[in-house]
Amino acid sequence: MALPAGVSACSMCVELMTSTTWVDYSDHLSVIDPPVQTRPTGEAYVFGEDTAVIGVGKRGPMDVNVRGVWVAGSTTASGFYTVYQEFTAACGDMVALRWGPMGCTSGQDVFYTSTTKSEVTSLTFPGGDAGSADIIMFEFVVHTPDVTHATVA
Amino acid sequence: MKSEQRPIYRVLHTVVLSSDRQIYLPGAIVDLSHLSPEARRQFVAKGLFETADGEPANIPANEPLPCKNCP
Repeated sequence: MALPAGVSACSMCVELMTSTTWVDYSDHLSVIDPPVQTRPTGEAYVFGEDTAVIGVGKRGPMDVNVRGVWVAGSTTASGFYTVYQEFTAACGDMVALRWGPMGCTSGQDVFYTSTTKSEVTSLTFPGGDAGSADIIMFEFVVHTPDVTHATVA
Repeated sequence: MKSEQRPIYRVLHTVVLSSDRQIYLPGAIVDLSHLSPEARRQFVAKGLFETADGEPANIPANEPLPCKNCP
């Protein structure tokens, strides 16, 4: 079997949706931690066997951690303020996330969180260190029941 | 003048159309006129779409009506 053509995140794209329109925030967002979905299992043992009896449950919800560059100005063109606006809405509001490891152009694979239930459960505000030259970042977590694969056509 | 037939396809696997950035689930009927014929052929070959442009097999509404006075 030939070696796979591995890819880096060099061409990755990230889009957010807060209502019905997907908006490209690739210029503001930097990192998407690989999200993990788990399926719970149960186990029991019987006297007559040496191994476990295994049961499987339903897939649990997922957290998608995202980091981005904080940009001044309370406009929706800023990734931070877009998320902030939804996060601070009474009882929360939806921020769906869609990303394409090799970009969002035709033919590429993309993954997206639920477009009906994707809640921001954590928002890290911009902070700073007087002795640091690091770029000021922000971070948020999207809690979603599932991540779906699609192809851009 | 005969109007040009639009390339109408049925979605077989979840797609995002680059024309409007929206997500379409399997079963949706979409217009792929933003794609070249070659790109449409490749996506069909990959199993993302099937043609729905008047082919009777793909459009239940086009199934033949029960015949009257059948021989």
